[in-house]
Amino acid sequence: VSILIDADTRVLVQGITGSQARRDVAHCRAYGTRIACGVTPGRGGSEADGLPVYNTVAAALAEHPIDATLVYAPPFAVRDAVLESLAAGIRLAVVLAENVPVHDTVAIRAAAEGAGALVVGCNTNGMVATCRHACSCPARWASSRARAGCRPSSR
Amino acid sequence: MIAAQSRIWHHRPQAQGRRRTVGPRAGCAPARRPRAPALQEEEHAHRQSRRDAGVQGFAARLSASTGRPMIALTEDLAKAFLRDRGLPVPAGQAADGADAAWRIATGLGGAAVVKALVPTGRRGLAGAVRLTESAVAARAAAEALFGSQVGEYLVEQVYVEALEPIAAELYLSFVLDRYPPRVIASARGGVDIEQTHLEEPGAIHAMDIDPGAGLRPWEAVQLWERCGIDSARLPALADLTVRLWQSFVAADGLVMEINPVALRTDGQFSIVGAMLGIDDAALARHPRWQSVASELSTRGGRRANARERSVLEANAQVPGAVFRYTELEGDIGFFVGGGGASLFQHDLMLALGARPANHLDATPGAGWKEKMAAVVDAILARPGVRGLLISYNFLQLINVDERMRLIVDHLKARQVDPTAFPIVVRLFGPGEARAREIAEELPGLVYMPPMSPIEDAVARIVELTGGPREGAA
Repeated sequence: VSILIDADTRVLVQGITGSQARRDVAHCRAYGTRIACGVTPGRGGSEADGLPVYNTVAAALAEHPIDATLVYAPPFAVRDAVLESLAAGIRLAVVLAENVPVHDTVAIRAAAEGAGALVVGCNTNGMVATCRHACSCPARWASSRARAGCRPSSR
Repeated sequence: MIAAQSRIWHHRPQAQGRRRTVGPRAGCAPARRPRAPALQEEEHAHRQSRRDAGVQGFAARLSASTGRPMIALTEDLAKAFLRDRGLPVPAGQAADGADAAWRIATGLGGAAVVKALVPTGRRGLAGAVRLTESAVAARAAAEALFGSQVGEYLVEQVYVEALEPIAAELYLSFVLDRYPPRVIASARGGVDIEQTHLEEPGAIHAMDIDPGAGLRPWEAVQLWERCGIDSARLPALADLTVRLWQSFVAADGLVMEINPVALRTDGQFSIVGAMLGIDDAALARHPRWQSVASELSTRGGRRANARERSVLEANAQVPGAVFRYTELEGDIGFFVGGGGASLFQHDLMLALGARPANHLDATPGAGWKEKMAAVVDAILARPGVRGLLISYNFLQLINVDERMRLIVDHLKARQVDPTAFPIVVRLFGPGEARAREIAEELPGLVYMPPMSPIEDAVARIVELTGGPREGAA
């Protein structure tokens, strides 16, 4: 399995203003993940956890280079959130929501295949990269751990 | 190998059922499944499916083999949906009494088809479809059907429909039991489709559908051409097929079976048989079906029972947490969490010579208290259940004491005595010390020692409920 994320991965959070997202974003940042900004339609111009929030993924990408998106949209909004990120050119998406309708996941997979993108989820705890600098000095290791996704037991 | 003995294993092949979306590796060309001309997978699923499955028909059993909870709509609901979308459905209406059947048949001009309105297939073979020549005969047919049993269902309603002048019967279904979805067609539709499948599988043709593009008209032409349909009929039939595919997607269908697609003597096509099973995860965006959902829910091809339906109704009352409660043949109540941890505990229990009374798949969210209560009540109400295992892997972002408070309060309200009805708890995580104090309010409840392995909790409940059972595992 290739290493999909590392300390330099710049992450967008879709649905960043939700309660689960806010809690998880704090965990991610404490771990060292570079969360760049968030998107919540209707909340553009505000801030979440000190990060700028935009109305659309395209608007976020105009201001920030982004490598991956963490999707916190609720089940029925997941399809459009992922399709929006794919349309904007993001090629790695992590989707947390459970109970996404099957037809929506089929549409997501078809779009991801068409775009050459990777979608992790739906219904995942996310991903973690822990070992990249395991052989280098501890100080460097500590500063370069990267994490997208949220929960301590994630793969 | 233990897993292979697990009863739910056949209904929930989690390797394909749970992992729903994985794209190709970034940078690689999109992987495409080869088009499957043969029906090997169908054949396999067909044989795997339970003989007594109370589901709709041939295609429905393929879908049932995935075990995904599905709502099997009755014919009147499926046909009303298709009719509303402008598809050619014969005039017809549901009747809940013989007089109503007479009235509807009169309105249709006398001659009618009277069908038992139950969400199960092979009604024709079961004698549950009657062709009648007059409204009086329709009333008599309805009278004969009311109160009879078709599959797992008691007939409480009949469907009275205009009699179509049928020249030929075709078969068409759409199945979303794996990626990509498929369309299955045959020129040999009607009640003999199952026989055709067994004796002459070459007469049934399947085609993968590219979900990005949807089923396109020329693909539908190609499919029906392979079935041997005359060229002159292809455009109209392909158009109908594409519109049915669009309806299948719009309905969040997991399976839709049109059997037969009737070619009428006047050359028009008509949807004479329609069965539709929809994804229960999508139910909230289909208000027209919400009121009937729990009544029509199925589990691995079996109709949900009253206790299972009560949990479904609790789910429906507050959107958020979803508790999927499926009864099995054992006698130990299973309140378990975590997809992997749940199946693991199930297998451990079988290995120890006991069987879970149910499986549970629970997701956190709003309404957890009410849904937990519904599951616990279902377990307590089930005759023959000897004990309860409450066991998760490790809770991380949820406080154990909050959960324990709700569980203990509910067990106290139901006057459960753990010295008579053993309860083993293995809930570890934040707030655990407080949770242990709360557990002491129920004398006899066994709270597993901190950090004890998951195997110990399973062994403990098996031991407390009488040890290995004869004939289990």
